Amino acid sequence: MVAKIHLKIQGKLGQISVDSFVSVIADSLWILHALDQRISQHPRGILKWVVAGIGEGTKINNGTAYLDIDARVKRGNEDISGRVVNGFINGLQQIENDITTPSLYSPEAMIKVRSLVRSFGRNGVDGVIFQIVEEQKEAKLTIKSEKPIQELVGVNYKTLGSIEGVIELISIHKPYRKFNIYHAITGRAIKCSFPQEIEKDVFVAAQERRRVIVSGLISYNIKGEPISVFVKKPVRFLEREEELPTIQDLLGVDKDMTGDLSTEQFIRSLRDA
Amino acid sequence: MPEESSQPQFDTGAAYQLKKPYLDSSVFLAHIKQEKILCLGGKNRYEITSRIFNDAEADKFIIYTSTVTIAEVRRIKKAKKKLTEDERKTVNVLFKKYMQHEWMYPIEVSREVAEKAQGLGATYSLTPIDSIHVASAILWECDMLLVWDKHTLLNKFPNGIIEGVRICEPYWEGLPKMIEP
Repeated sequence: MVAKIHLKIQGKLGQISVDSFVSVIADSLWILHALDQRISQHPRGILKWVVAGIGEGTKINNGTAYLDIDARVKRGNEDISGRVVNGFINGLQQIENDITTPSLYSPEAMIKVRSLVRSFGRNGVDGVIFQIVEEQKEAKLTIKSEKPIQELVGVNYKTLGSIEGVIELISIHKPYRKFNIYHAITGRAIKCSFPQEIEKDVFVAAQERRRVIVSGLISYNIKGEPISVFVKKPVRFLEREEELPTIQDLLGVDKDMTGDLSTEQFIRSLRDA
Repeated sequence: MPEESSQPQFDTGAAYQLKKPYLDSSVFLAHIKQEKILCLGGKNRYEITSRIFNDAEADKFIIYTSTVTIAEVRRIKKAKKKLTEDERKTVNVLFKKYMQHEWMYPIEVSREVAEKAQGLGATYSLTPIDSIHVASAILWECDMLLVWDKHTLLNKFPNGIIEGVRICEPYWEGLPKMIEP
């Protein structure tokens, strides 16, 4: 069954500008489309969204204008709409409640959420509520949501370091060459800008879906999550899984590694020195 | 006859299931040394490490550790068996590559880790490296920090738990304890 979203724009009819109304819907669809691309791994996504209902007010809440959006599969046979819609709502809830970046939300999607929220309080729109009616699940964005989103999008500090992951979404459009690296542990996308010298390696890494390490100046948000990397060193390719030593290869490979010291004594000799 | 570990005075964690374990350097060392010290449950250390690594390889969980582990797992200078430069390099390379497995997540010593470690070190009188291991486990929300170093880390925290991370010796999941405390 295809997924549906009940989108409710809060504000007073007669005050909501058409521009704001359209922007809210466009930004919301942009984020849904980004999640579709991420989950489907298809560069253009596999879903389209259709209007299933539109009107004033709703029985569920006292919103002033609503739109029912249904997903349709436009490419292939797989229906990922449930995952997309749930990822969308869960992500917004995570931003609001935990103030952490949802793993499915790319840096660009986070910027789009911020842009959506920043439009509230002007031109008649006070907020927006997204609901999955069948699951009684909802996420609400209001003017108050701007602070946590800004904290997640804004740079808190920078350090030199490295990020391990897989490269995707390369752009060599001037003036900035950039790609996203999907963090090996969190799965979050981190925006990277890179110099021309490493362009070839970046493409090889993406084409072969190799795990790599990129190093440079990393910007972190207030939660210590890396949000961008200004790559300064060559891409380091990690070995393919099948090329790595096995558990048995390592077992007993150096039985005399710590000499006369027990493991505990050796560790203490290193740390207590 | 394998050497038997001293009387257990600490929580072995045998009742707990490994979900998101953090491994201290000592666990990797025991594997590389194929340590035959008998543990609770009647298994040798290297059997336990093999089981943990095999379970991780079988996608039962991911192993977390610090990048500091890579620096710590190396040969002592006074080892009895002399290795040639090439042999020594081979062991080092083998371990570095081992740490690249997809089921192994080395955690960088980021500013966040360092700042957390600073606080832990001051509060619990830990060495900087001990603090880095504990801070890494806490910040990445591991449920257990497995370590063979019972005289230091294991008894530093009330009930062996610090900010949701249980510090305990590696164990063979599911086996009854052979030696009761």
